[in-house]
Amino acid sequence: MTDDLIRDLQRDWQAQQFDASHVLRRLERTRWAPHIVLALEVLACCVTLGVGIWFAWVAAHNTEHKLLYTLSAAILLIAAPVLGVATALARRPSLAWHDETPESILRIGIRRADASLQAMRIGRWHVAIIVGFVALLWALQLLQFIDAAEFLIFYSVVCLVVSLGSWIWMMWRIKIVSAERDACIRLLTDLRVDN
Amino acid sequence: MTLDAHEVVTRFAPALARVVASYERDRALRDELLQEVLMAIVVALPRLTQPEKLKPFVFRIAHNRSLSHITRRIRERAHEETDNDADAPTPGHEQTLIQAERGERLLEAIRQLSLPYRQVMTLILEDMSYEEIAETLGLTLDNVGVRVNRAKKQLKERLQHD
Repeated sequence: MTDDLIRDLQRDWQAQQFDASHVLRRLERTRWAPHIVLALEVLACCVTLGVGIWFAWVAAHNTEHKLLYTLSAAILLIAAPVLGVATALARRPSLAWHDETPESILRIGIRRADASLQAMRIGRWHVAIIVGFVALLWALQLLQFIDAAEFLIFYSVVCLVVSLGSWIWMMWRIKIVSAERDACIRLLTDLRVDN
Repeated sequence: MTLDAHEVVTRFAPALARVVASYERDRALRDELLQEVLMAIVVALPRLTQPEKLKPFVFRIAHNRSLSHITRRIRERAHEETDNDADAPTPGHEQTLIQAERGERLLEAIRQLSLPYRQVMTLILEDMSYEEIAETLGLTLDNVGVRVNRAKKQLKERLQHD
């Protein structure tokens, strides 16, 4: 396998010295960071759960603001475990880099890009629903079913800004994700050179 | 970091830095990518069941992580031609300078190879056997042989052309 050309190239290649010491030092410093962040997130969930239990205790023992405390307790007690589980799942390493091959990495890349593009298409419908809802409120105002013109102006501006911002962001993301998808397809075609 | 993980990343860091450099030209991004590769190795190391396959295991992670990196970066590459490459050699030593220049030429020629040839060539240059390369890239031995021969031919042409 090893001929003279390869031996010469190996000598030149391995003589290249890239200083990796600073990367190793940084790795040493940051290695525990994901674990610390996860621990803090679990702690935040536990605190939320504790506050929910306290609200429930207050609701059971107080007569004042009973509904408010009960609702707050219910929301916190439901939300805390759900968010805790979602956080833990989201932080799990999504890819087993040691198990994949270059081809499977690219196929996963294409699938992920497709899922992101699909999610963003659905996201565009959310914007349309918000705009439609604001239009409906204005129709109700004009037909005098409701009387909240000042609030509607404020509400419409907020919705417009959020919708416009979301739309621009989604268009930008679609462009990026589509480029990544194209790159995966092109590299996958390159990899199938022997087929 | 456990002693083993520390030893592994310290031992392989220079070789992995070369592999990463074949994918990423920009020095800051290269360091970032190298750190991601090393971190992925540290995380995955407890799942290595056959210690004798450490080398393919480590290089497989490096290539997979780097490949994922370039799919994210590829759209920017068209605008990027600044070359802030390998660490500058210490001036004053002629042999070091010549060696560094040859290394840079080789690295540039490797970068110009298409992905499958670049992958096998960087592994060959790190003294890996065909079996190890097949294990690393999930190829058959025949495929490795074909790719190595084509890569060698292309690399030779590029180096002669330069």
